[in-house]
Amino acid sequence: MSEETVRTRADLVSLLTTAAEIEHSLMVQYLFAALTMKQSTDEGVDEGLTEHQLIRVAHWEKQVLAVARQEMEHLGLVANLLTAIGAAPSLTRPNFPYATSLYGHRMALTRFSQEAVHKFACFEMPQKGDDVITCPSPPDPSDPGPASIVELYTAIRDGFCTLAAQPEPLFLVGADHQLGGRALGTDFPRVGAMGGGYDVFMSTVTDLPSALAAVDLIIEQGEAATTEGDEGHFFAFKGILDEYSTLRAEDPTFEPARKVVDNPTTDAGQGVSTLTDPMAVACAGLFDASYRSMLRFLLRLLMSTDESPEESSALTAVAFFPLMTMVIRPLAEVLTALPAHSPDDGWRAGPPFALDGSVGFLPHREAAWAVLEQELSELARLAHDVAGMPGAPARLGYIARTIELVGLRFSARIANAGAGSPSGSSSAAGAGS
Amino acid sequence: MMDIHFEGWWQCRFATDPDPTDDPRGVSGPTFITPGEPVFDRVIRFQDPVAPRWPFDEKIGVTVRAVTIAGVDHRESALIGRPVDLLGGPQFTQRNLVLVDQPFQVLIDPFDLQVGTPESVLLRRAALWDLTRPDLTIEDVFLDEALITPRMNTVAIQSAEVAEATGILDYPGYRRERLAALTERRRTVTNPVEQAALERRITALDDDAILTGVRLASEQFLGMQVTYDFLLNGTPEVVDGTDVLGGTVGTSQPWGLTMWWGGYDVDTLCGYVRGTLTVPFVADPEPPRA
Repeated sequence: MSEETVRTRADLVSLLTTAAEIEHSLMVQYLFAALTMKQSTDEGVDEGLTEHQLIRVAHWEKQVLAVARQEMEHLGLVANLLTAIGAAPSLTRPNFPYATSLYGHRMALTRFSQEAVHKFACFEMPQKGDDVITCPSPPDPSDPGPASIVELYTAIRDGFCTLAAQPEPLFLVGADHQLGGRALGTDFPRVGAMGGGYDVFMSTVTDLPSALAAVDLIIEQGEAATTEGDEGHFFAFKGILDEYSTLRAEDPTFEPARKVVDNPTTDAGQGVSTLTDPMAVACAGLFDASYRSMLRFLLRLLMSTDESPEESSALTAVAFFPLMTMVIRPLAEVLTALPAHSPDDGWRAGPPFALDGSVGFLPHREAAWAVLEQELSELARLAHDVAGMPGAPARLGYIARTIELVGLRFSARIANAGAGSPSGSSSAAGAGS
Repeated sequence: MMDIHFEGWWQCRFATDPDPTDDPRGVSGPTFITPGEPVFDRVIRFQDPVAPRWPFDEKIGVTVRAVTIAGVDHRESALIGRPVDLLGGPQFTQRNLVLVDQPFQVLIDPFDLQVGTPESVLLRRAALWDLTRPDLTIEDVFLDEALITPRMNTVAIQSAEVAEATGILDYPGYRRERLAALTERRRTVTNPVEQAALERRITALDDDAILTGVRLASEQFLGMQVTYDFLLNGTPEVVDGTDVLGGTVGTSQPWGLTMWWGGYDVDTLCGYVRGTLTVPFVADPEPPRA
């Protein structure tokens, strides 16, 4: 267990970078688990649940997806904290599985199960209180990493207080270069409150109070939120665990998730499940390409230096709703219904969320935009190729068309913004239809 | 001019963000299917709803409520009470901000309005994106501002006009009352599928207490008003074999349409529409008096 003490800006940047990696990793693990859950008892896809069980499973999926969105919010807040003190936001993390200091767990992509939810509850567990649960492994005292998320953010909080009290200015970059709730469409003004659209409360950081408010929100949302209409991640997971036990007691065969392999990948490696079914391999490749593209858009947005508000809006308009909700999520859902192996042994595939060295900041604005535009075009071609494979799920066609339309809009916005599009278009008439 | 005023409840079974628009069942957004219902099809229905939910199962239907000719109310018009329909499987097309720039911009495509029925009196006309290319869809033109802008809606939230039309004056209270009504109803139904459907809806309404995003979206939908004002420019169809209209409708001129949509209830998947179709009209000459 670490006893982190922040003495310099570099110390604080290091802690925040660790926090970004953890938030990113948790978000992906929660998403993965949620998207393995069974979905239907009709339309010829009976997954072995009763209507009552399916209602509870759908409710859990909704809760876990909401938690995942708040982890995304945490990642965004950490990026703003880094930006505010003149550092670079980070979207890197190791590929799954890997060891972590958090409660001695491993960061791993596993399907929704009692064990998985128990692990998630451990990640989010408060340091104090009567509602703690027993985690399987105690924190390793020799591990230099944080033993808990609360410990990490407490050190970050103290670090901001320490450095802000020193004569050198701590906050160097203004809100114009950060991601706020207004730009994301999550601000929701009402009496005494702001934010909350899609369960996300995004804010910018300009001084010590706003930095502490961001850190406190992250801690609160994990432990036990005091925000209206938000029960906190730990209690959400604990509630699911309790209900899970009840359903399992009623029906010992109850299995809420599809039989999805752990840590799916298109490569070989230790602790991973290598996909071999051709359709699954193709979909997983498309998924990872889409995920990495989304991260490159996000990085350019989070590190925008001389983008105009309109240009930042164009980046937002690709990364968030279009790629996250219309490509990443449905592709993951498609994958968890596909055979993992050929011949089919009953195991299902899943989204690998694999990173490679290509997810780095594109530093030159005009070149970056040209690269991103080209990438969307290549992604659309790949998606159409996969959707055209024999036996491809019908949903892939809709996803491919979506990527194509996203690319066309991005090109048009580049042309309108005068950002030097190599192939800007103002009309989509007949395009690819 | 003849102004045909219509209104009523419509149904649209569709997933809303943050669910993907092609989500067949609804998970993380405020809309969802219940046990016993078919998957979402995203079609807007003015008539003949699919698996309508209590207490809206008897309410859905858009009809002509009033007719004015040259500004004069014609309470005896044969059009009053006739059904109004949208044909061709219209959808709210947005693809989660892929086809539009801003939240709450919602384009309806295709748009083919019919007043009345072919068996009696009928006025029907579509709005085409480009008169010269009638087969174009929203996906072909979404970047062409000149074609898109006329069909774009304006938005008001917490609309008083919607509240007065729907009777939904207190959004959280409306959902609390629905929760209580469904809970009460669950005690009386015996059909297991209906019980499960009610359980699904009750669970979603219960979530208002713990999921801020879904609650805010649900309440926002209840008060939202999207307003359109555009021309119907397709080939018109007028059927009035027995001259119940009492005059002639112009067919070489575009027809005007103004309407608002709002009060969408995510629990019943229904919303309200109020609009006016304006058509050129010349009344028959008065018969000579004996």
